[in-house]
Amino acid sequence: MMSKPFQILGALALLAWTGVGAFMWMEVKNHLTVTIEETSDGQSDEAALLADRMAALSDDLDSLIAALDGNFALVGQAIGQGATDQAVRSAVIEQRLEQLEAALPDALQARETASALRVSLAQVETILRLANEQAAVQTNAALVLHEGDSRIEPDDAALTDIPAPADPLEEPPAVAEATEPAAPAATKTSFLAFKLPSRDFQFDGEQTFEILGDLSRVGFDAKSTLHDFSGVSNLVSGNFRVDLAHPDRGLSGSVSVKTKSLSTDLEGRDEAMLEHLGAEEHPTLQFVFESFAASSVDAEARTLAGTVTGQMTINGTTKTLEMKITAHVDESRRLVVEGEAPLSRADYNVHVPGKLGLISTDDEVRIWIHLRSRAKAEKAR
Amino acid sequence: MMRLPLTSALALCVSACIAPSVVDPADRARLVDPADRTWAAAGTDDVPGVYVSTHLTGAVSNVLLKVVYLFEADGNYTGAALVDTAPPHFEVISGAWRMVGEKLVLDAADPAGVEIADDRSLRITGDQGQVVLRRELSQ
Repeated sequence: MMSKPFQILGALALLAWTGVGAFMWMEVKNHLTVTIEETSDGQSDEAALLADRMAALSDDLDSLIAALDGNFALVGQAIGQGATDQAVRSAVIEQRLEQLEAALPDALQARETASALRVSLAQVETILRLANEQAAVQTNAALVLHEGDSRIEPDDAALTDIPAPADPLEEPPAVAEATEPAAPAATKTSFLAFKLPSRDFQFDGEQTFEILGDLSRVGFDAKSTLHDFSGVSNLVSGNFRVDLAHPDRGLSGSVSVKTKSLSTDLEGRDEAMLEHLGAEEHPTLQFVFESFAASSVDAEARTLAGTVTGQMTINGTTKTLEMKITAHVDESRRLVVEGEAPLSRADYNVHVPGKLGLISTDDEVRIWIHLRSRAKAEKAR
Repeated sequence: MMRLPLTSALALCVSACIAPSVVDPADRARLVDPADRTWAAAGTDDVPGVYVSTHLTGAVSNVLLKVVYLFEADGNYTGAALVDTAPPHFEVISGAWRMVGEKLVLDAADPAGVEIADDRSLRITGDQGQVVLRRELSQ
């Protein structure tokens, strides 16, 4: 019963609210004026700014163009100057070329002359080098006549930097090869501080050996009724020439002993011996080498053996004597020659009369040699 | 008749008194072997003196005939070598010597071993050989 009035009241209230709303809308509409103006101020500012920038850019371009014009002018000027200079240089070069062309024949002539001088100089250097080499290996000068099989001991390598001697039978070296500077004769500072020429002992090749008297002895062994004894001499001298590797090819030289230097270490016996040897009339005992018959030659071991034949002179009497010898090279690079041979005193008219009818000396004695010799340095040939 | 027995007896007596004097073939060489001496490492005080070579071996013996040195206590030295050329010639040097350990150094030469013998001889050994130097009196 009560809802109906409330429904009506609600409808009325709704209508009233709508009416008030419509009224307020109208009132607002009457009092509100909306003005729409076209305001373009921001766009104008941007345009003005753009215009300013364009103007500045234009000014910059003008300045740049002006500057470029100036620079281009300078570059052009420089190019022009460079071209001028180049032209001058070209003219100078052309002038010099003309001068060179004019001088070319003379230069060619001078070059030919210089070449000829170089060739001559190289020949002189070659000759000097060969001479130095031969001088440095003088004890081997004869070696070049034979096929060489010389060797160098490893411990001698430091002193053997001289090239092998040239074979004189070969053609002289070509001029073109001789244009290289010739090496000077090799010398090396030894541990003893001396600068020494390089040379090694050569077994192969003809060379002269000088007997070292201070290191050599010769003597004889004799038998007598009383006892056996030896006579010895330290005064030995002489030399001989031989190719140790080919001793059969020839041996020459001699060994001499001062007769009065012989000693048997017994004064009275020495006096008698020297009297029988005719020491006053024949002060020298001598053996002259004539030939050598080798029984063995070992170039690697540096040894040889064989029989020497020569003329022995004792007491003024000369007889042919053969002596078996051996030879080797010692640690001091000396050639050591040892040998002995039987000898009849009667062959040399050395007669030793017996004493008391019982004391006598055998006719045969054994003579012996122990020689040390060194290869002599020889001048280049 | 009595003469023969007497002389025979005399000969026998003399023979018994005189010993044989034959040189043994092994002793025919006339060379003093420096190896027979007693060698010891030399010190600085052992070096000064005058020396003459008596034995050269090795490669240096191919070209050296004789060497003479004077080593002074102040470290100076002078030397002369008789070099086997044609003709032979002397090379004379001088400079300073010093001991480096047990090695003798002559100027810029390679160090060499040096030993002294009981007779005060020096033995210098290098890579090219060896030299034995006999001490001499200064005169």
